[in-house]
Amino acid sequence: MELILSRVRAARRSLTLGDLLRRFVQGLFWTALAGAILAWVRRWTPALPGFLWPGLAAGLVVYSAGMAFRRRPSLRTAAIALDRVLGLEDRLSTALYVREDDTPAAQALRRNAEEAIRIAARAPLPFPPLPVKRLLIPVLLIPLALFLPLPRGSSRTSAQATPTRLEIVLPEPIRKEESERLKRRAFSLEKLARELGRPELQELADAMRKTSEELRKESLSRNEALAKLSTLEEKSRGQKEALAAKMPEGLLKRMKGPGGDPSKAGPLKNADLARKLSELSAASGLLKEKLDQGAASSQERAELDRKLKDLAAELGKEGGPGLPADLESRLGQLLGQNEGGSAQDLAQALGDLRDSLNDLQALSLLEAELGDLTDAKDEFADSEGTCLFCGKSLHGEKGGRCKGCGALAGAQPGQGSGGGTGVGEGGGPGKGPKGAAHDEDPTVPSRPKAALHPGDIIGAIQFKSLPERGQLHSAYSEAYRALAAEATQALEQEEIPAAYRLHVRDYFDSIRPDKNPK
Amino acid sequence: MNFEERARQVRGHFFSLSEEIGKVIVGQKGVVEGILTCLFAGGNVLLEGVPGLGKTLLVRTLSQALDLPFSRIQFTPDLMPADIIGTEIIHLEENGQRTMRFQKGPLFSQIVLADEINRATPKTQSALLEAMQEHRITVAGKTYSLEEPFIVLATQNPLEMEGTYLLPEAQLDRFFMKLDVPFTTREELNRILDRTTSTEEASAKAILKREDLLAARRVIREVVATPEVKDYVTRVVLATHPEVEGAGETARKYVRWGASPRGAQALLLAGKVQALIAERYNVSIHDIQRVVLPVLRHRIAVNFEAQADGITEDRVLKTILDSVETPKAALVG
Repeated sequence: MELILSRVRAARRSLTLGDLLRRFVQGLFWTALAGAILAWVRRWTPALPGFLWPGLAAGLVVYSAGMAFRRRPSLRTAAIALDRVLGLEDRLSTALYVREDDTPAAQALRRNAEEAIRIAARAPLPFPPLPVKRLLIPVLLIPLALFLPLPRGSSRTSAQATPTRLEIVLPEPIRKEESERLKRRAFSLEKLARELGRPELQELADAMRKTSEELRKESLSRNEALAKLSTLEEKSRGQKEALAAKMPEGLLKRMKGPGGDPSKAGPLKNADLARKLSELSAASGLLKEKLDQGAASSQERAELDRKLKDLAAELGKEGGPGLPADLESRLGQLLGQNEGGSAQDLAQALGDLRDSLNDLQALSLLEAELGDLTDAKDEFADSEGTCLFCGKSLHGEKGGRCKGCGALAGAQPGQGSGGGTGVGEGGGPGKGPKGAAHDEDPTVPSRPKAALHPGDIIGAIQFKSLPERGQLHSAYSEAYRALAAEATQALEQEEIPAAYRLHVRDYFDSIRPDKNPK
Repeated sequence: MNFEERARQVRGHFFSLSEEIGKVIVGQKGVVEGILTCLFAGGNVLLEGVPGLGKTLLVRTLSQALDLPFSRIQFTPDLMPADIIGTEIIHLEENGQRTMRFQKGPLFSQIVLADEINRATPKTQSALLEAMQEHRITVAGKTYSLEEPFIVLATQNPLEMEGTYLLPEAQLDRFFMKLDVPFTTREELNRILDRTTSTEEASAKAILKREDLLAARRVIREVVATPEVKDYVTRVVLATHPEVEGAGETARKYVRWGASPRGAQALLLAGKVQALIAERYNVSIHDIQRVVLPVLRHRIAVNFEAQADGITEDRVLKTILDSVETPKAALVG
């Protein structure tokens, strides 16, 4: 019997482990479904806590282990499984059943079972089958949750766009126009980036193209558009500064203008000059190749001399950026070398010059883009938008109020149009006394005024609350008018029982300003 | 003698009988095994097959192999109950007095061949009921016990329906198994021709005594069945009932009535015989599955819809068997 018991116990361990794995695999599917649903939900809710995923994984492991242990098979069940796998025709399970039985048949049965298990080959228990049908549910739901479109108006983008402050939606023509312009600029910048071999310009062009696509979004608010342009601007500025750090200081000073005033900067900002320099650089490159090959004639050398002198004159002419000291000295050295220097020195000097010119041109382009982006931002900031509350056109008032619905820029939604509730910074009278009354008991007793009919009042509850502080935005009479109109409207629309309509009306009568001068 | 030796003896008797019958009967191994299962379990057998397949010869050979009294009753429409159970006759004593004396009928035997049982009227068929189930006969208020072992082996012909009377359900239920006798194969038929058309006449010898058979029956009943196996038997029987809650679609659609508790008893007993023959002392699920068809096929009745669709009892039972889950099958697939 010991042999049977040991084999059955081993089978039980194996089954428990198999069950654990099965539950784990099953749990993985369900967790994946939960993850997909969370991913779906995340698109329109605030970010989920970071510990969620590790927590889910840990929960899955603990759950699988716990359930597998709790529902681990009994010895009889394990014996049945072993019987089935080894083809022992229920010998083991029956032997366990008659373990305590002393009848001749039971004894013979136990001996028979022991003999059978001794002969039987050791076969591993198969992995418990997965509930395929049940797993189909998460398998089908996962792609659904991942790709299911969000409920209308509930996307995270729109949730973010849901104004906690008065937002202005940019009209389509403005968005479209700016998007097109940005796209065109991206295209030309990309072309120049390729010509100059400048990866940073290429990167900026890609960012510009992406932003141009984003600007086409229908629900794009002005703030979002400004944020996107600001990001682009920052990127452009970052690249420009990185480039400027590498530039010869004298040249940079010339570019920035005297005293760092960009408005007084030299015409090096001009792309034409940059292009001219680039052409010269290309000519220098050609000559360099010939010099390398030793095939440059004295005539060609003279030609280069002339071009270099032209460049010096161009850079140093009146109204131009001037020739920075280091570049000037390098150029002089170059010219000198050209007259008598070696071909390698000349090639080196020309290469340096070309790089500097290339940097110069890239810097110039970045400057130009930066300026354009700033212009675009200004245009957005000044553009005429649409109020999210009433849909009327308005300008980007800063801290102002929509002329259509009176919505406050900067007010919380709902509070803006519901003025007169005492929330805000108003200096209105409020309901409660100020000052000394607060020292002992700052609350003010109040009770419902309306009488309920039919029937008597069974009891009354006293509500105590702190008077709300602050200044009223609108007079009591105005607030009353708005609320009374709403109440009348509600009375007409809502299904208020006829018997209560009178009380609602009475209530509003009772708080009418002329009847209640306080 | 310990249990293993006794069980070995039972197996020896079983296979010896099978071999002895095989000397006369060509083929029909399944039918012979079925008859022997009934013999060792203590149940009656109903053999169904077309004429000429050797049903009667098989039963007669069995009776020869058993050292037991044998009687044969040829059932005909004019056969009366008294013709089989016996009757009281006036007996003239030596002193000239006349007394009533019970003259035992052919049923007072130990192996009874009820040949073409469906040809007798229901009245006569019913005369067998008490003898088959309780192994006793009551005549004129007096009960006579039949000597053990007592077994009825009935035959019937499924083709000729004219002039026959279908066996009542109560009587059918008293048959432990209903065995369909199949037609022989080509090789078997050739061997039959060899044996029956030559001068050589095959016959069986008596090899099993009454005491040995009764001892074998006791050994068989000692074979162990776990609660899971018993529960499986119960679930199989319940699954044949269309009126039971949770009955399968097949049962609900095609079955008029399901198997009786007697069917469950027969299933388990037949399973025990199967287990012992397979050198085991426990009944397995497979033992039960192997005997479901012969044990239950005459205990369920299919409805008109099944007949119209050509669905037989065997097919219904196979479907039911597939639908009944074996114990803890989910654990190991």
